[in-house]
Amino acid sequence: MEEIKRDNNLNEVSAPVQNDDEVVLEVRNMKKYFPIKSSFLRLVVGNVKAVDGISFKIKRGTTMGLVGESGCGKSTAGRTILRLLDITSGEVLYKGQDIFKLSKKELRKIRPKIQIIFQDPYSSLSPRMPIGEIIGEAVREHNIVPPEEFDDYISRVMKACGLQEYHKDRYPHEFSGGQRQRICIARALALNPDFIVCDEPVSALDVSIQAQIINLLRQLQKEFNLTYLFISHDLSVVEHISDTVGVMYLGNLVEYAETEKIFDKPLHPYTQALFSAIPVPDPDYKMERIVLEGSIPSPANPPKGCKFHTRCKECKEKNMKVCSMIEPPYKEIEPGHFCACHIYDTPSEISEFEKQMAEMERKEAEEAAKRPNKKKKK
Amino acid sequence: MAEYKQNLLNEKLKQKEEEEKRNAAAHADDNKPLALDDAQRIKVLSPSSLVAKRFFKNKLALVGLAILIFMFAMSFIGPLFYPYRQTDKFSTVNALELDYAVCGELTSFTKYLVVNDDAAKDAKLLVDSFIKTLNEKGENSGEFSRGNSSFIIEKSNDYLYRVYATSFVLGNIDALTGAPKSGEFTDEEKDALASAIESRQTEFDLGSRHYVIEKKSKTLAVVTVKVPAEEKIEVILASKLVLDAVKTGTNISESFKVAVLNALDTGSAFEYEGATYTFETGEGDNVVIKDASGNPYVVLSHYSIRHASGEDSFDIDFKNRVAEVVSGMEKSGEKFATFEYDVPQLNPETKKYDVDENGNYVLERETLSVTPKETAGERRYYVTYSQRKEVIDIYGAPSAKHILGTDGDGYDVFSRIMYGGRVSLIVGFVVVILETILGVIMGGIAGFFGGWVDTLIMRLVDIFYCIPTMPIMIILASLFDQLQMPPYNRLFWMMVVLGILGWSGIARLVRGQILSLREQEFMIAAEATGLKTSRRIFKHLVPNVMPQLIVSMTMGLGGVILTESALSYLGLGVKHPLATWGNIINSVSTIDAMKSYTYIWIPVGVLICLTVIAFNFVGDGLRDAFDPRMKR
Repeated sequence: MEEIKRDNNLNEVSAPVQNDDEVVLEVRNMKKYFPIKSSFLRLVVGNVKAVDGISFKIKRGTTMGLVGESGCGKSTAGRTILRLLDITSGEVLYKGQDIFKLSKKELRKIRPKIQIIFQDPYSSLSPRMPIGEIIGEAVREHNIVPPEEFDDYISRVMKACGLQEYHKDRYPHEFSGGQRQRICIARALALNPDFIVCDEPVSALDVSIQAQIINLLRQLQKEFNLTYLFISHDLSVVEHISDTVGVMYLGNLVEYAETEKIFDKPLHPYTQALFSAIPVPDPDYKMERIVLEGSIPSPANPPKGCKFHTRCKECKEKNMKVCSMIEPPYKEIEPGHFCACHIYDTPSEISEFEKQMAEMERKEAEEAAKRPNKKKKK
Repeated sequence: MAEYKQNLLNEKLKQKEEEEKRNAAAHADDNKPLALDDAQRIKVLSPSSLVAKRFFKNKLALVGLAILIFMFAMSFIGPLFYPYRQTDKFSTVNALELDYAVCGELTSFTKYLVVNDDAAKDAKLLVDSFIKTLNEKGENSGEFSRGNSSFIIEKSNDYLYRVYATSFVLGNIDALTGAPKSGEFTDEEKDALASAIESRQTEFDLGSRHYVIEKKSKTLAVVTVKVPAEEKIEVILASKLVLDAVKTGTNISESFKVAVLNALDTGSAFEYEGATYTFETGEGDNVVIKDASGNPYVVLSHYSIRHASGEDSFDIDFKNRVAEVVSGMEKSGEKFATFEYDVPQLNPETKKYDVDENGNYVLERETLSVTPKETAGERRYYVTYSQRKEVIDIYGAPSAKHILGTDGDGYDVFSRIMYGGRVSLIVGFVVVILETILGVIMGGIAGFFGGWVDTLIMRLVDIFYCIPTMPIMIILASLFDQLQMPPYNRLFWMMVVLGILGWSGIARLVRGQILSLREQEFMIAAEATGLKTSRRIFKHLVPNVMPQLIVSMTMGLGGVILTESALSYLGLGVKHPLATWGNIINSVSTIDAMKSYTYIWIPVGVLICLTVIAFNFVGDGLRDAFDPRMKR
């Protein structure tokens, strides 16, 4: 009964949400490297390039899905946007304001406006606090409502998130995963945010609960005009909730477009392989899965050129040399559809790249010529 | 006052609520669908009440808790219902033969100055050795000299020697003019000196005396005079006789004593300051000197009769009586004699003799016994009688009055155990709380901030781990002794030092916990919601460390109580007379005492063991209760 009702709601929600063109969040060439330190002298010997230069914009009231394999830097990107991690380079603009240029005091003021919902609802709630306190703590801290309205406000927020008022005095261990995730959502919502990073909010839940939570998120978005960055590796969920989708591979955004466009016609070979793995609920349907060979390379030592070329089918079939030499530019191939792949190189670009490649080869040959000499000297 | 911005969310939520209310009102008649009403579930417990529930299921922990409650009740409430305090000394009054008076001959001669000049003072120093030399030679008189002075000593009788000067320094004169510089000179002498200087004579005679001028420097000369022996200038009387005033408290002047002694040889009346005094032989060997009106004024005797404490406080009657008895004993050679006399009694409480309202002693007739004792060749007679005396009940066996007997200081052991429990338990709690506060702050800072702060604090912890408690406490104890610190201050500082030495373990525990908690998502969520650092530490981190902390505190309590007991037993901790469980055992620190007085140390030992075990039981119980995986 409940499920069906919610599905009915969903149809309403699916209609384009109230959309003004204000950009809530803009990410410009964001990089986040984790230094690898030597064990003894603590010298930096290398970097794990978790996020290696990504850029996107999210408009008010929309949801951007961020998909990719495990370890491709989705969550790191999400946390860096909230300045829970320090940025290596690049900018994160919230309503045109660079979050990383704010002082600690200003940052604390802006914190309620950008919230996060975590993947694991079990570890993201302090086990020794009643629910009312978990939700209301920051509300009180930031003076979001006057003290006399506080209790009612928390009750309303809880109701809006599908929780009951009497849950307030209970402790997290008394709730199921789905309810806990609702608590997490209520905690984020209570601060009256503009923007919420949903860091795989449904990955830890079973499928029926996933649907409830997704619908709750959509419903809240519709009612309160929220903006989401929805991080997930579950493509069907992303397809369901997102207005735009970004695909990440090894710290880079390889493709970005509106949901319909990208699911209709994925441009990047990686996206194609990824989307071919979406199960179709039809027993007669013959899936044409593109199976990627090998495993994801180490982000500490990513392949040269296009990071995907070691596993790229197109690259192998067409034997494209450029892929292993030069990083493909991230550019708009169709209106609103961005992709970073050498397949879509324009002729002028190809000639440019060839020049560069020739130059690089020449240098390499010179170096190769020097090396044996050195060996001989030894 | 904080500003509240227009909260769109709140407005919308309000609208929604109203709408729902309207809907609900519209559909009030509709049948409500059957649903499991969550609100009517059995009351779900908070984490703390769950822990309590699990704890109370653990029988061993309950036993521990019961023991602890008993200990606390005994230590803190028990003394209110017990009649004795920890420093009540118990004693009984016994009748004991105690020395009252000592009677003996004077061992040395009392020297009386007849004239007060340098020669006499010289002689005074030498009289004892003169007499000794005379006695050795067996002569009755002799001549002695010292420097420029010469003396003749004559023995009047065994009790009296007289010293005459034959040659002595008269004084100093100016060597050029002959004018006196110091000393007393008669006019004749002055003239004679002046003329002698003028005629450069060094010796001259004046009358029967012979003067010698000895030049010491250009301007100073010493004049010595020699007097013929017949002239007998008396300078010193040395006597072993004792002059006691008949009226107690009368001060007899030295010059009167000289007059008495001078007249003694003749044994007839003498005059002193216009009054005539007569001699009369009294009882025993006494000589009574009566004044003009015939009343006894002074008694002369061979015996010095003093109070056992050395005071000369007896009246002449008692002295006469004792002298009589003693002289009787000396004559007959008896070793024991008794006599009856009215004597005062000691009050055991005030430790003074009882007095009536007029300040006079309350006297009772007692039989006094006199016994001679010879020490170092001197014979003394001790007058004793049965007196009341307070005796402290040392190591009294358990009885109805003292349940666990009394200890080496006459204190009631059971009351000390109760008061000692207070100190031991308070020390345990205060030290552990101090340790915990320090440990949580240091460990919290190290764990939360990490980096160089963490490294620094952890090295500090390592250093504190290395500091040995016992030597530090021994050094401090000697310092406290030096400062003569009162027992309560000492207790306070001991707690502070134990706390400072003990925080490192807790700091490590807290740091470890916080390091793991810091990475939990709820901490990141707390950061994302923009909570203050202090709130994140004290509202999110610390409550999650509490379980481990409580367990380690409870376990630590037993340890601290043991440490305190050991220190107090060694006399390094809480000092007598303040009782703790440790220093009660200290009262029986030798093996013999331990063998004989088991009722003192066994109960305390058992209490210490029980308390430590109980704290461990409770700690174990708490640990199991906090750990939801432990199922019993």
